[in-house]
Amino acid sequence: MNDLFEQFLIEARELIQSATEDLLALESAPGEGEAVNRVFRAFHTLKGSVGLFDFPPLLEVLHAAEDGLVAARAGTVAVDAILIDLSLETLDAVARWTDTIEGQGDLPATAGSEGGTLVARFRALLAPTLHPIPRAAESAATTRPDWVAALVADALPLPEGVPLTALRYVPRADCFFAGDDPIGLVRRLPSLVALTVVPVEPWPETGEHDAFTCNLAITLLTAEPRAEVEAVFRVVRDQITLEPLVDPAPAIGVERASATLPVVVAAILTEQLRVIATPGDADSDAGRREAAGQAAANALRSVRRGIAAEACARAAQQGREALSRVLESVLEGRDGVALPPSVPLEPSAETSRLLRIDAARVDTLIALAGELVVARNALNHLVLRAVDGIQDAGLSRAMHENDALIGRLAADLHRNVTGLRLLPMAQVFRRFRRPVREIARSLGKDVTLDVRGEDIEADKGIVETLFDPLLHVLRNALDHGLEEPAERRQAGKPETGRIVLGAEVQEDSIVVTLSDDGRGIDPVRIRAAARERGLVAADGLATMSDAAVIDLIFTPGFSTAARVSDVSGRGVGMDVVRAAATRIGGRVSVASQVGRGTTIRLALPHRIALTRIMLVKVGPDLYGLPLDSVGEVVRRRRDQILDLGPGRATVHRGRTVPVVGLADLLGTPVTARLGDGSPDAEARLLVLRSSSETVALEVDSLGARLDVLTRPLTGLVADAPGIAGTTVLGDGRVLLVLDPQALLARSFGTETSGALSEGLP
Amino acid sequence: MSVRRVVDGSADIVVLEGPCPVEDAETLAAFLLESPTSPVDLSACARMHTAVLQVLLRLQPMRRGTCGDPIAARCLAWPHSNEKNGQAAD
Amino acid sequence: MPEAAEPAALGRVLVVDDASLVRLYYRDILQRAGFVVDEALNGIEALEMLLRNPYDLLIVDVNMPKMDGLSFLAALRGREAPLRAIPALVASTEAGSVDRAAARAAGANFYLVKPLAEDVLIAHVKVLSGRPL
Repeated sequence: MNDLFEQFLIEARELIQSATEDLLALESAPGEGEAVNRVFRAFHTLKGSVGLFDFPPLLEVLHAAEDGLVAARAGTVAVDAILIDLSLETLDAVARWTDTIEGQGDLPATAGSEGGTLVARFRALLAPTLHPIPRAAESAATTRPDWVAALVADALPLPEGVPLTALRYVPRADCFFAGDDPIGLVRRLPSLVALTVVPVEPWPETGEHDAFTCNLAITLLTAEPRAEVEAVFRVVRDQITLEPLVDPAPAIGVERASATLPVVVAAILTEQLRVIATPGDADSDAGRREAAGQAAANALRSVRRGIAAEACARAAQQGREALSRVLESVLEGRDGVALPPSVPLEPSAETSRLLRIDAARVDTLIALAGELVVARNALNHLVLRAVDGIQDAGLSRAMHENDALIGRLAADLHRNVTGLRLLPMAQVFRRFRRPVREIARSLGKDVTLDVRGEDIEADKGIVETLFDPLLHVLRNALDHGLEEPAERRQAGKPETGRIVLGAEVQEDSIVVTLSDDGRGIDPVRIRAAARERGLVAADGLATMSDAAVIDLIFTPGFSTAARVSDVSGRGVGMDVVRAAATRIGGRVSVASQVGRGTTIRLALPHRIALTRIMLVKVGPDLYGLPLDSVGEVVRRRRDQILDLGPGRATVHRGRTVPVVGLADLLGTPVTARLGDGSPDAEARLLVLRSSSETVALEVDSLGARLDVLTRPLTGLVADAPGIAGTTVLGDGRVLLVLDPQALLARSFGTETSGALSEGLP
Repeated sequence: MSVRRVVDGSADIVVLEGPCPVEDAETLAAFLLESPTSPVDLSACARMHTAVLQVLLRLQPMRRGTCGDPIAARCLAWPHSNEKNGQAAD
Repeated sequence: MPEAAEPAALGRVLVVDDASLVRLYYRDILQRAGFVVDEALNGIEALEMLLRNPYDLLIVDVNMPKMDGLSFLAALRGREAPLRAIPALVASTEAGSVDRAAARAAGANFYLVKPLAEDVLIAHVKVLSGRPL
């Protein structure tokens, strides 16, 4: 059952995404009827899918939104900013709740109240249409007034076999002054099936709220006999309408189904209900039921109702009753409320494990596998010849050729299989349009978001974890990077700010950049802030380049300097961004020009794959250092390393480079350092490639270079700073792979060569 | 008073307590108009007059807690969510 | 997410009808709509074809020599899974409710009365075989 839920997650996210895009499109170009239709369809499908699970508040919100969009399609509610905002907010809530369900297996505790608010707002939007507009022709043709239909639709499923009474009560505007408490009357009805309270006239946009003028219409469904209801409301009988309700469900079912499913599909689904209800030969019962399930599932697939299709297929395996329940609920537009056993949810901390794969990619793989089989058969033939002792020049050449062929196929296969995990950046980039618009609006700024390189693909794990850190960067750019419109005008810039979010492939990494044309980061202010916060020792700060200083925004602790970050124009929680990037094997850097803007650059691996490391020894311990962080390996005579008091330095390529002992960074106990004698006359230094400044790291000895698969730390040590992950060596030993950047960042954050023993295993 | 404004941490919240008669509507509306972002805690509300309910429907403040008045709670939520605790009830 | 690439054929349909003109008519329409169409002249031939090829949908006539359509369907539904679960569309010249009920009892998934208009045929074949409408 869990895979059903995973499929739901995929489908839900796609629907939320597409509906969001359509809503944003509608906002800029209203009156696009097709977009309204698509939004409606997305909400409708979402609602249907949610109905398969047991999340009432989620279902209710989607139901209310669907009603709102039905009215919008019909033209009874305007497709305006109010509807669009409300729909976007709803999608946002649905997205958040879905995430929570995925993580915790249940809705957040606040879903009920938040959902209630959204529902009420949709209902307020619909209020004018619920107001009875008696049209002679229609009321003659239909037996049921609009308000009753709306009430019944909301109350589905109705209790069976119970006669119901519908009541509409519009209290007089001055009823409060008369001492009436309309809800108080409702309280006296013991068996309420449905109850709604909506404004009679739309609430005034602005102005004082008149608390004592009643503007409410109450509609309710009750199982109380009509006479009882009349007795309760006797004192206000001039303000009520009563409507008896007999067997309302079938009509509603057909109405809903025809409104939402194409006729052919609805007809085929209905026919399957009849097929399984028709008695037949006992031998063929299972076959008929399965065929009905298959036909129904196919019909639903033909209109992209994957979840409902899956439910049909499952129910068909379980039995006739299960299948008819699912079919009925799909036809009634409340898909699978009756889905057999409730769906158990295994909370998964990880992001979705299901992949959607382009069929063309699978075809390529199948073709490759086929070629591999052919090549292997050829090899087999050659092996037999070799076994028979046939020795000729042709044989060894043929084997070489075959080996080359298999090698090529294996490499292709590997590349294609890893390619299955690739997703286009568009998946994450597209999700930013809305937050940008909203944040900008809340800040009173105007901004255009320019997105580039959406087609570039990266590993699913990378694409899916990019959202949060990028959102952080984006928020900073909007909040602190971009100036107020007036300030921009003064600076001779267009009032509308510009943010460019782009991805490109550079060598073996994918570089995601986010640039703004705002005020930039002033290194003078960062220096002052760093000094004030004691983030860097004063003399350390003096020797740092401007670029290194700006890089301090990624230092943990810098972010807490709230006031400073305001003037610096950036820096709230950027350490989080760096940490997130590091976790997926990426690096973050910043470039900024005062008055011109700031660019944050994330260099990410294409895919989570092998890392090339260098083994280094410190005292008795072996560590791995990612080779891409090491610029050069040099040996220096010890007398060429100068002790400057707070730290050591050496001259390398004409520049003074600080020398930091890895043992110091790691807090290796002094007694363990010397090993079996005095230190070598020459120090082994690794000159680190760094975005901020060049540092030479001293190690005791250097070992082999290896390609390893590093795994991130988990559990208690998951956040140990300075450790990129672990890997298992050929002899079974676990090796810690260090992150020298993070180690140094910590070092500069405390002292130039301080002990870092805490927090490291 | 059955409508009060209390300071909870950095934010003001409005608390409805006990029976909330018709007069509370105006007080509640005044609070909410003055400070539209203040949430309203309904958990201690035993019974709500229609006028008070109308203020909540009209001004749509953030709500905290399950409304102690089940009928009002139903009016504030979707009609067929059985009481507040829909999860358990369904 | 990119749309799945359009496969070469939308699906494979087996037409079971003794009238060659009817088979030709179905074949022509469905091939143009993108389906691969195979033909069988009666129920016995159809069962043999079903054992050889995977089909997405059957279109079955009722009145046929050797083995009629409904007996064929009832026999098919009594076979092993997944063979027995292939959806079937019955197309008959009879429009009576008794005929429809008999088709249901035999395991037909939908019943259309001949002659079939082109768009009706395509829509039902697509929906019953799970292809986008």
